[in-house]
Amino acid sequence: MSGLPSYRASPGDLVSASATNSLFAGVGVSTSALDSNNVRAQSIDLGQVAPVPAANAGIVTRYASQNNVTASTSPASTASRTVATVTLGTPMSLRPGDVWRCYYSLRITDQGSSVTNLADLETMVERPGAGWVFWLMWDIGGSGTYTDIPGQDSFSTSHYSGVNDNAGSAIPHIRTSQTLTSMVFPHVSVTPAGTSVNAHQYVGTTGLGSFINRPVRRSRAFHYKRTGTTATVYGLRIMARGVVSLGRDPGGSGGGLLFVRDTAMYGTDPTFGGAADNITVDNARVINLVQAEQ
Amino acid sequence: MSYTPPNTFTSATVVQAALVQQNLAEMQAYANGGVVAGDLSTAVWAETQHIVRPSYEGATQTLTAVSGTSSTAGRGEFVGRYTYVQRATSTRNDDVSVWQFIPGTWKEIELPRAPKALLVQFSFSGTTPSDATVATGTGMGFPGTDVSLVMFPGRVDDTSDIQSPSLMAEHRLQAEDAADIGADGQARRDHQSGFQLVEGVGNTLWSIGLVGRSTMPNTRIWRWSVAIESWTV
Repeated sequence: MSGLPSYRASPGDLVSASATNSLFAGVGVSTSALDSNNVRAQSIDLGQVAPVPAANAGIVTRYASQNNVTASTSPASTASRTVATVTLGTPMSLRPGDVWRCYYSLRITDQGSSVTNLADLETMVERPGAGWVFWLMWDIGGSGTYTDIPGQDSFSTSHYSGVNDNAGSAIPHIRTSQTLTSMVFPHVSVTPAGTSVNAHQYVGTTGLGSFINRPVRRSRAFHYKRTGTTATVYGLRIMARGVVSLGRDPGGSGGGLLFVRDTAMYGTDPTFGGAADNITVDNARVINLVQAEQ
Repeated sequence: MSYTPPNTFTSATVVQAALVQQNLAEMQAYANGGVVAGDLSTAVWAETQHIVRPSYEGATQTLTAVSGTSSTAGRGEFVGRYTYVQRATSTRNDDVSVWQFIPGTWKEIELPRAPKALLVQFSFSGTTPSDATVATGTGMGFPGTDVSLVMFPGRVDDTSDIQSPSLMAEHRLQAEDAADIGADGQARRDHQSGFQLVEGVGNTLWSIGLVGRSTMPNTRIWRWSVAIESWTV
């Protein structure tokens, strides 16, 4: 309320007591509920904004953290593996409308393959596009139980029936429409015209061939807008599984699926699927930001 | 507490100048420090037009607002105007680790206010052609180039300032087989990106850029970009 009552006594007239009192009382009413009309344009700068007001009102960036994981790990195939667990020093609160911006990266040094036959390796790489998939899970209860992040499937469930291997067993998979936090890293590979071991490139010392002959870093950034209820994130977990390949959703959605190739899908050689393959992650970095909608 | 006039006037009584003056003095006192939080309406009283307008400095490509500061830099020209990392300047031979500036990738940003956090995102693309002087690597010490990000609080005036890059933002570029970049034009063009966040930084000058070290004749960095964000509130 910004308007003030006005009263102007005319010359020669008696001053009205009630009008005079109304003048001063009106100022009292107006100053009891100062609002936007009382604020001058462009008058609010940092000095007028409390850095930590109640409920973080006015704070654009409500949370910022960076975690570095320096321990090396070598997850093997055949199951979903934990690459690293990041426990946040301060829990990260996501209110409805808040936007979580997450950046994470991995440095991958080595890949080991159990496939020793060059022709099999070439087929594995060229036909199903073998690779490793990394994704995140979160602990939003503080109990150390990690669950799926909205928009990100895990291999814990099979979403479609009829997605089977050659033996008729159901295959765990991730829908490619639900890969908010995912990174896919190619498995050991060979040059297209490779005809000998020497023509191939290596990571490390195990297995035939490699995507690249030096350690590589891969980065992923995504954002997630919270809806519904407030969630408090206590930790994040980087997961890995391989060897996977990409296939078409048999349910007819037109989307793709990331399959786990635990079993021999593309050949009869029991080692063909790379059941004993592994990958080494040197280190990891996770950056979290939470910014208010307004 | 809102303004309360100390005096009220009664009908048919002479108005006393002193009482009027007292009311006005009280009003003056209220306006000069008498406003308390309870006097503010519970409705939104600070709207967009009330916030100081952001300012943009074209020379440094820096936007400064109440909520924070952002800046960008980059170069998108193709290989004809590449910058580089090479062994001639990094004097690197196997385990010798001397980081050198990657020319043209440096950015200075002055933070006018102490932000809560500073986030830098960067990306670059490069090629590392081989030549007859490079032996094929078969063990540790593969020929190649490392590129990393440096965030230095202050102005970089000596290479000693850049010898501690963030190894979490390091990228290792592969040396290409000479055959791959021959007639078929299959040069590998690595695209790399990374990020780094620093909390609790002061209102100071930051130098941010790429450094490299190489065992190769020449790694061509043919595009790069950096985006810097900091938040005051």
